[in-house]
Amino acid sequence: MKTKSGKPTESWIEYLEDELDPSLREDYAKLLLNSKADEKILEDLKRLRGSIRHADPYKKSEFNQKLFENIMSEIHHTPVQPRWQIIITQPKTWGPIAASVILFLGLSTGLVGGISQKLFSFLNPSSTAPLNMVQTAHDKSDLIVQEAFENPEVLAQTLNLHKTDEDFTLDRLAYHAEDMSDDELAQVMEDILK
Amino acid sequence: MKADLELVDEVKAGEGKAFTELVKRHQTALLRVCARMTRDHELAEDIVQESFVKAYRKINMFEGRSSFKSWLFQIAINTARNKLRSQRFEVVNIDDVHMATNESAEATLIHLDIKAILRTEVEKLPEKQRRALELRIYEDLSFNEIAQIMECPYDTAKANYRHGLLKVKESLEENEMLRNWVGSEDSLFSEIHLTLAEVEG
Repeated sequence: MKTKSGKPTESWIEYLEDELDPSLREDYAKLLLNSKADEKILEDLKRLRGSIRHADPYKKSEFNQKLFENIMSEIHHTPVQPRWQIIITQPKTWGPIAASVILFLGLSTGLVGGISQKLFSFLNPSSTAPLNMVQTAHDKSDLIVQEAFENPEVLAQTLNLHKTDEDFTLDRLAYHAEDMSDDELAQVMEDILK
Repeated sequence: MKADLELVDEVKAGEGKAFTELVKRHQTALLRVCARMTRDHELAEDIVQESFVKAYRKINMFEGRSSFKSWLFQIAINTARNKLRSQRFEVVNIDDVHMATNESAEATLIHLDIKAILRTEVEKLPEKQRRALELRIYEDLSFNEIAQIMECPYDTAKANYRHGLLKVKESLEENEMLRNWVGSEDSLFSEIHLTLAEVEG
């Protein structure tokens, strides 16, 4: 959609909303002085905007005291949740973590397999025992998997999963929360919040 | 007057009373947004109440990366969306909407007709375009705030608004009733605007 001057109507909306680059804005302002067609487009957009605003069915909403009282009464009985509790109960943190763990394990298995194969070939150039090579790679990948489970912080740092140490600790806690007793959970939380 | 973020910090520090001011500040705008989404005032009130309770309970998750208002609107919009989904809310088919116009009173009711047409055209927009347009024109929000509320990039928020406004413009230009009423296409928007402005005073 273009006006006679060639400026698209979309850019007049940008002008109207004060979203144009300042240097462009100056050009547009100059254009308005010499182009009736552009001036009309802009005026129509202004009027349209104003008319939509006039037609807002909720424009005259007034402060609803009863709703306010209801909200405050509800708030009065509502505790503010500590951050760790919110993170634990948020299901959406699991997806990316699980996906990253699987990806990491997959990559590391392949990597270890490749390195082992090269190393084995280097040390035993005449050997033609593929079964042994696979066995070596398999053993190494088991080690990596075991290491990842025992030291998940290394995995997290490698994949940059967490913004802060606190996030990392809370995510780890979230992982284990279901298997912990109330006392254990309270003890860990006490340690974290020290 | 304290800024929203200061009040949020006070709530986080255990000053529950600071939340009262936040509710007072944002309750009306939030109710308008929810009422527009649900077209049901009672349901909108429930959603507003639930949203404030959620915001209070999870205030420690608010990190100040957006404005408190954006965060609150985002909670309310998501809550409304879930409610509407769970209630299998049926969106009214625009073809089934009959405007209560009386031909003999057409002259005196013309401004109401125009308002109805404008609202209808806005409501006919795809959801994202409509939301961006409502937040910008009705609530005077910046595109940054709209992007945060709609959880989309800044440029997407702007594009949704732009497309929405253009669609409404084109629909009005093609509206037969308006064209008959105004007579000349050239003065369509000035006539509409004048009529509405006169009535609103």
